[in-house]
Amino acid sequence: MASDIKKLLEKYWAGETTVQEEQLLKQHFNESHNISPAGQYFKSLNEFKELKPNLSFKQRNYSRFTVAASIAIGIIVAVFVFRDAQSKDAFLVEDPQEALEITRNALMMVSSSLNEGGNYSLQLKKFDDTKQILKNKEIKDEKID
Amino acid sequence: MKKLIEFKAAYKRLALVAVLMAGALASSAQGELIRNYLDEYADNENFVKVSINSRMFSLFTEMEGSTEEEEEFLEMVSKLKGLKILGSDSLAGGSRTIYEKAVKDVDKAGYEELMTVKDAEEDIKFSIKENKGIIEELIMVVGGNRNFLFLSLYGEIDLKTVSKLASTMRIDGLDNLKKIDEGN
Repeated sequence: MASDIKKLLEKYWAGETTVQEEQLLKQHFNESHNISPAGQYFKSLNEFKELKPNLSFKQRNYSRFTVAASIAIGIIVAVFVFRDAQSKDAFLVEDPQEALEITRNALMMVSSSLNEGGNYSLQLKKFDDTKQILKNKEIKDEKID
Repeated sequence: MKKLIEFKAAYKRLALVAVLMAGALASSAQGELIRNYLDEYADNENFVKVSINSRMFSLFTEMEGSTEEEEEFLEMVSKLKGLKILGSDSLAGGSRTIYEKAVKDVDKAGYEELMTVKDAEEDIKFSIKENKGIIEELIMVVGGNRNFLFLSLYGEIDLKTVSKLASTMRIDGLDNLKKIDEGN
């Protein structure tokens, strides 16, 4: 029996055993509690087999979160791309010169309205100068009249 | 125990995704309100709709201003991220209603009132959104008898420079007037 196992082992390491012979080897070592290197090899082989279901469970668990995360990211990206394409640039001004003029006029309007309010105290010296000039001009005009 | 660690890692990942989502939403919030208005009146021919984006503003930075004021103006503009305008001056009766609604919407959206100007012709309301002392968005709503305007400016807004603009412009105009006088 022992020599048979020895022969089978040699064949096994050479990779020449059949499935049945391997089964026989495994069975032998599982039952015999052999502590030779070969015995330990088959023992750990068996242990790996028992571990397997546990491993696959963990993997599935991990991938479920990954899938959920990727779906979430996918949806977010899709929503943003869709929304951008739909509305953000529907009235976009493409000509830089035109854009600059619009910006200038818009800011000018904002600026003069801000000043009109007066609440925002930004009465700059320059502005006072302007008023002075205007006043002088009015006086001059009156004199001419 | 191993499982617990696994779950903890997974939840950490989820939390990260949530934070990223929140960040993405927050960054898109600028100009959101006016975007809705632009969409609402997209097909209405009575309204003028304008949108200028940050790409365009960054183009301006390559320009060189001929005067100091011009340089200052371009410098200010280069910090902007967007300008959107919805306006009309041919509204027969409903302009006040639109104005009231817009002002209400601006308040509801959490903008802070900066100032309101009322005169016989029209009402103007300025609202801002501030973050750490920097004005991120300026909204101006104007409602007159026939006109309505909704303007949103976002990016980094320097109110001082904005309000200075008009006065420098007036000076320029007056200088020209003076020249004409001298010519005569």
